[in-house]
Amino acid sequence: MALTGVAVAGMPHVGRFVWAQNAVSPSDVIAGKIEPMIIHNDQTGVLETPLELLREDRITPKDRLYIRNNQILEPEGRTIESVEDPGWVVQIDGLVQYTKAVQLADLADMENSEVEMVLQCSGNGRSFYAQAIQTRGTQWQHGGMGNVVFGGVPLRTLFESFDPELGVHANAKFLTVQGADSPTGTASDFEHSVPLDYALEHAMLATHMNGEPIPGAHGGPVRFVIPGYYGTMNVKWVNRIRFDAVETNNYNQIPRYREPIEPIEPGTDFTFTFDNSIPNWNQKVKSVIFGPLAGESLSTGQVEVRGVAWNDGMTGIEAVQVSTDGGTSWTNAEIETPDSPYAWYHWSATVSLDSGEQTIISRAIDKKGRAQPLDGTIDWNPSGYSWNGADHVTVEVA
Amino acid sequence: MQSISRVALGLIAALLLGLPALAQEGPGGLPAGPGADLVFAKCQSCHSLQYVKDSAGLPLFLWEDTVDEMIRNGLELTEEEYEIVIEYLGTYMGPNPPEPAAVADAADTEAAEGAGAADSEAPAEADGAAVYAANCASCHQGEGQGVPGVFPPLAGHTAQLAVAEGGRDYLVHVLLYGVRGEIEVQGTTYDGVMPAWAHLSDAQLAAVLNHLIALDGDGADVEEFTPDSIAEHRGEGLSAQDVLEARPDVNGSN
Repeated sequence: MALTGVAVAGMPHVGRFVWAQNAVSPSDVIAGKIEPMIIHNDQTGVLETPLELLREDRITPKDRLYIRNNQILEPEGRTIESVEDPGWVVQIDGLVQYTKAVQLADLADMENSEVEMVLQCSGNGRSFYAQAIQTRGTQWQHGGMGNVVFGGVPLRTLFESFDPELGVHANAKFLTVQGADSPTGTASDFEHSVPLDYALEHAMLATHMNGEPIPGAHGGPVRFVIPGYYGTMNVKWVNRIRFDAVETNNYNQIPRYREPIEPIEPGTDFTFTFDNSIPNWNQKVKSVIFGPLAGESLSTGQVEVRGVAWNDGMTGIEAVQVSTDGGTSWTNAEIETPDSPYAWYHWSATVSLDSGEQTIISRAIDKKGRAQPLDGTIDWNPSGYSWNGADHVTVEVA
Repeated sequence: MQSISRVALGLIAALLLGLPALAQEGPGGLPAGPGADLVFAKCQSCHSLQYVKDSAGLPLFLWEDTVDEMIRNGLELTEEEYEIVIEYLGTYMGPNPPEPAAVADAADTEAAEGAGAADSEAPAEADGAAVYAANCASCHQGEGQGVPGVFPPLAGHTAQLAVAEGGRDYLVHVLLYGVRGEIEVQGTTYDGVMPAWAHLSDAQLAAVLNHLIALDGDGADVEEFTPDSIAEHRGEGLSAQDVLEARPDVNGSN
């Protein structure tokens, strides 16, 4: 069917149309993003940073930081330029005695702080689950992450600045954060719930990223930033924060952005409930090899393997180990401990490689003993979230 | 694991480049099969088809979950359309898609539908309103009013273009080759992607243009588009960017 329309003289195959449509540059999707970012969705704007680009910087610049937007946005949401909107208002309500409305301009007058942290899409690495069974969503490799510095007003500072005070009800256990982006039609607005206690200790209303006002595409002018948690919980364009007794039942909280608590057999259907699943909150311990990269050709002998590791920041990274024999023996890498518990730990190890096709494996272990599974598909889940399998890189050694 | 992703990339490349092994292509490089047109029409409202293709291999229940999620995200499907889309995705984009030969057989026996399916048996008399509803309304909305800043309005604007110098050619080009980039319509800026609809028949494309012109009361004086007026622009091999460059400037006249 359907071939008739295009199988005409001068048009060899339909693929040519497709290629023409897809042959756009990252800056056509999000203005200012550079080649060779990988375009996953050119309409809402979903771009991945290839590792050869990501590994160049300790702090990921805005022109190459990955992006994952849920809605088709107006132009100010599709640029790495900042958004000028001092009158932007964040409504604070829910289980409080007095609701509040905070203007962006007010935030500048409060005590600000900065946090260096890994911002990582909860779908990062999803494509690797296909080793077991394909999962749904953007087929990210490793580049749905970056290491950035957010600046803004800590939530506790903000809440304590109110007079009269908020009067938070004792039943409030969660903060539900809503973004200004809204889908077309009758779909519900984007919001996420996070535990109140954690948010009060760690979250901020961020206005800056890497020392500049947050780019429009990355959630400017105001983004909810909660270090240690996956990217999706860091709600962009935040315009409402609600004190709730329970998690929201918004579909972005359930069934979306959740995974089963107990492992399930790959390919198993699963009905998500609040009790049998957890949201994409704490990032799992993970390491990624930045060099050598897959497919590189190397000479036999000593090879330096390097990369980054991180977790949810609750405790430090204890060790990163590298194996060249399929996980039978491991070499401990040297680790550089960052100032921020949420930032990348850079590591390197020297291993010896024989000729032929060789696979280098890395795994991180944190001080709580949480380690990357050798086979990440053990955590297979229907939407392919929170991949943290030990990294495998195959190279050609001659 | 990297080798697996390379295989996946190879498959995608094969789809895009139309290698012989995957010659049975539907619109936009989707595997040919009943329902491919509907997937082409509906899914690009919000995301590129690459997303769908990248997910090839999902088991049926995950495709159901995915489509359900898209509905919560704003996708509108009738019950009948839902069945067709799920059947197509679960079969042709599932873990064990049929061999191309089997697909060709299925296509031969598929009933022609004036609204959506664009095969060789499409009726000469196409219903423009039905073509519009099946293919265009999910982005440009039921009455062609569009979504400000996201999807441009077609009501009024189509007739405006049809009487502008070079406008008739432009309208046909947009349908056959798509258009991409920044345009201004009735004072609002749009910077999006309109896919090519070359898989629809000449009669269907002419009918939908006439339908759009009729949506505007002033459109009565515009010469009707005929299937021939579509056919003569096929095979020009334009890119979506080429189409944008030849867009008539109609903003001064509104």
